[in-house]
Amino acid sequence: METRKNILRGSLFGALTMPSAAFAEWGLNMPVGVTEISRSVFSLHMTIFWVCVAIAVVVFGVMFYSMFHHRKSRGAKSAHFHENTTVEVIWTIIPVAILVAMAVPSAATLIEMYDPSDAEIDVQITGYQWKWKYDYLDEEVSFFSNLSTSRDAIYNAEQKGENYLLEVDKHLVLPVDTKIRFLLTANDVIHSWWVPDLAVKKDAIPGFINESWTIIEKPGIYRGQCTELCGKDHGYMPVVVEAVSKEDYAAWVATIKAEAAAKADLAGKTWTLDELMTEGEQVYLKACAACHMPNGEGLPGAFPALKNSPIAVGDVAAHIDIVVNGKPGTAMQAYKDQLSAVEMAAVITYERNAWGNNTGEAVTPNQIADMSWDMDRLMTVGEEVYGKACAACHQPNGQGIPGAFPGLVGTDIVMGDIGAHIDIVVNGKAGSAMQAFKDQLSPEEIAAVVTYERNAWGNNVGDSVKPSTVASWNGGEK
Amino acid sequence: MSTADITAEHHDDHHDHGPAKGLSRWFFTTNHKDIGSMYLWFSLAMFLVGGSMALVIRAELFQPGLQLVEPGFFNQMTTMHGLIMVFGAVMPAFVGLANWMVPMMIGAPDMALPRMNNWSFWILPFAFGMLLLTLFMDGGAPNFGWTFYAPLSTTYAPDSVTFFIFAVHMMGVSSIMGAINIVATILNMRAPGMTLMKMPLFVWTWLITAYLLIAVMPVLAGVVTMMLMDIHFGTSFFDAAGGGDPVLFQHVFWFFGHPEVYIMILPAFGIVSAIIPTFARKQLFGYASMVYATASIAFLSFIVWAHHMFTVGMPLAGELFFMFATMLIAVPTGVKVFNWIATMWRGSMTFETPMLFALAFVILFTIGGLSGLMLAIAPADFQYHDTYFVVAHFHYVLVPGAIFSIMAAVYYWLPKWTGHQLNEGAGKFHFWMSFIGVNITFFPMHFIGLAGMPRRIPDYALQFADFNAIASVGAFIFGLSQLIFVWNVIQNIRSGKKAEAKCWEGAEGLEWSVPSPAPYHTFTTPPQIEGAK
Repeated sequence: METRKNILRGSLFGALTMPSAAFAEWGLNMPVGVTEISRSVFSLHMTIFWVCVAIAVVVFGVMFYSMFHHRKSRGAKSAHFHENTTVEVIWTIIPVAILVAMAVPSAATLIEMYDPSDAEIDVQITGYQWKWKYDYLDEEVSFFSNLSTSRDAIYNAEQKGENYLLEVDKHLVLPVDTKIRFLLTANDVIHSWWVPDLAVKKDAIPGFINESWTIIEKPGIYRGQCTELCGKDHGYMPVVVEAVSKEDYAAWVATIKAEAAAKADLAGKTWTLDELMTEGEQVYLKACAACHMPNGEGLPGAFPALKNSPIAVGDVAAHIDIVVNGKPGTAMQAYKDQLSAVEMAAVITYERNAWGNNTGEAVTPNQIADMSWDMDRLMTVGEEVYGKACAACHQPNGQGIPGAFPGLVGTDIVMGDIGAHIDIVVNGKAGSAMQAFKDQLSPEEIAAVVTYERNAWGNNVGDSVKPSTVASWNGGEK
Repeated sequence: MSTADITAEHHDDHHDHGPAKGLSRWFFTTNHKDIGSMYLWFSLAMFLVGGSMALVIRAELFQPGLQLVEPGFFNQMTTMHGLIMVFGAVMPAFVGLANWMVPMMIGAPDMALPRMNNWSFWILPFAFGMLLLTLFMDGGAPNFGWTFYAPLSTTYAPDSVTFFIFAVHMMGVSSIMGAINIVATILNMRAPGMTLMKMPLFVWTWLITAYLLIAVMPVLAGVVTMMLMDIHFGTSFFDAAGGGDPVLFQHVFWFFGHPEVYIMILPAFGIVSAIIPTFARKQLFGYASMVYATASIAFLSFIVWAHHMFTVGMPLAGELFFMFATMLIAVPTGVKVFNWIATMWRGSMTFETPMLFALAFVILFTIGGLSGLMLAIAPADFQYHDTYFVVAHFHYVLVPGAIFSIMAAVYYWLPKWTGHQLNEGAGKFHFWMSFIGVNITFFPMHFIGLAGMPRRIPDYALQFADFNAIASVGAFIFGLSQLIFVWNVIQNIRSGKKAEAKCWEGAEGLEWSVPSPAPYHTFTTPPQIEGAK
């Protein structure tokens, strides 16, 4: 358990009621925080607080004195004055002076907070209903951060842990002593990203990008929450920042990149229905149950049921489509940015077989991967790949160079059996200039370029190749 | 209707006849006292409904974890609680008080536009009936907070949002007509000699409030209409994907919303300015500066709206402007508090129930004002914004502020309305229970807010547990003690010692020159105004 020492977080009567583990967290006041800005903010807060206390003591002091001494029961006779210009001018000028004195340091701090220049690391923060996505723009690292508190803890079926509701599956890991710029936006409704110890709170607004920054001075774990009402589970999207040394940060980046690569490999594995169901249930609880409910019955009028729904027991392609691409204009998000192909395949399989849906259908990660490769995309990417990898020999217009490189317009390879076409691109043709592209291009690129060749320059065969077909292509069989 | 009929009716009016019999009295009445009473009863009913919702919220928040309600319903409760308290409890109560008291305070026989007055009231039960019925719709009632930020309230809203929009339109129509009526009454129907600067401060504050209402209720109507267009007619005012801007919603909403805050507090200033001099047996200190301070606050309320939006990412210049403008409001507000205390100074005070509520108002409203000053400091506001610190702040200015002033007013004028003296014992019991309850409820919220608890969440981290439990206990004390109030008012209507025309020793003003209870028609001939107010 991490401990956070905070001299100004006092305790009033916490000792009477709280176990000692939670004692340090029993806050009465704003945290001082771990950045220069957070300390300035704290000092502004304490200054204005004491100014208010002083005003209150004077004003209420006079009032209570009067209430005690100028009462009829003590024989007070009322005076007759009802105005006094001098006094009224004085009690107008004094507050103005106090306010000016407060305005100066406040403006100074504000100006400082508004200077995100010279940031060393840019992190894009995107609010989703109800989770955060973090993109490290310089590292090509990107992940979602979900609440990790269990449903049972929320519904009082199990003991609540120390960080109840303030814990997530993946921390936002940041190096200390480094100027970090946050770029905030949202995918659906307005959220607000807040970490009290950093004194950073900024709204994440769909369609717009807000800026903020921080330099964390002390390693540690700093917790916050979404602070803009964003729908049903607004209370369940915490922020956890883990500040580490620069070396540890570099190591973490390497690890998370390796993990991402390993995860990508999983897509090639053969998944059984049982494996998909097990994985699917986990994903469902994390990503879907908030709206569609753990029992798949949804919330009538707000979130549709999946149990026996036309989507979950009907056409599998439509089911995959709505999960991958979402449903614009509704709360149904496009999960292609949030879940891996394996996770989407698992959760779709789960939805099609849980709660008595029992379609018996298993959806493979490949089907998901293929979903996003429609004809238009294959052709667009295919043209690009062709220009890069093929046009040097076969020429941009597919005519080839007679006698040296064969043309592709109307020839047997491109107009005939699609298997032969894929094979020659994947494995090349021994004894000719035709290389094996499996080592140079990804399965997606190969699928795209084959599709392009079969449909460009008036070939118009009309068929297409899915990346999964290429990925599992085995030169020995067709 | 023929001329003869009008003459006949007019002839009848010369007899001081009482109200019509049965229900038709209430449906068709044009009498300012009847309409004032209906507004006040309506407001009390809404106060109890909105209060029950607050108790649902506090019951769920008594302990961490979900016990009683689901998060979706919790959001409906916070939203409906806010809407009902603002539009259904506080505003109609002040309009009811204005209906009863403004004509009597300025020596007018009735409101200037009595038929419109009837309509202004009768719109409200339908508007709120519709709003409350959305609780039973598929998808539930509005769940996006009383501030209904887009796109949560447009693209992502439940179907009931359309009924909510229509209800807000109806409330707006009612408020605007009510405000026009009050302005017309005050400007045209004062008794001869009742110059503007002789008007009681309650009349002054209501005159300024009415102008605020006329200025900003159309803005609210505009913003909900833009939502309606976005939801049903394909526009994109608040949708960035279509070239709109969600932040535009907030600018327009708060251009309404900030003056709205003062709509809910300026009449309270007027009430307190009537009660404190009465029980201090001393003339109000600084009458003219009170008027100017009220007008300054009203003016400033139009140029500070974006202090509700310090975290949306405004440019630095905007941030600085709204911070400085907001801090300025402390000056005229301070003048008012100082004037009340100067009124008490060297007075001859007694502490009957209305005075207790008025004094609690001065103390607790000032605490709410001081936390408001803290919120004005933009860099610190980044830490306070949308936390329980803000919840504590606005409940301090609205509950022991606006609501206490309404209760003070009811206790103060109840003998005039019913003809019966107050039951001081029950009144004081109600006061102390409310005073204790309100502080136990809302004071701990400052701490949990500073310690980091966001507002509008159904469940919270463990370090907030103790203060939440305390606040919930306080809420039930406060809520249940309002039943004493209801009992006390009903008892007072039914029985009690006969009240004199001027039932408070130190009371000044025309309303105390008519008998208690006030006859159905007062000042059918204008009174004679003498000397300065």
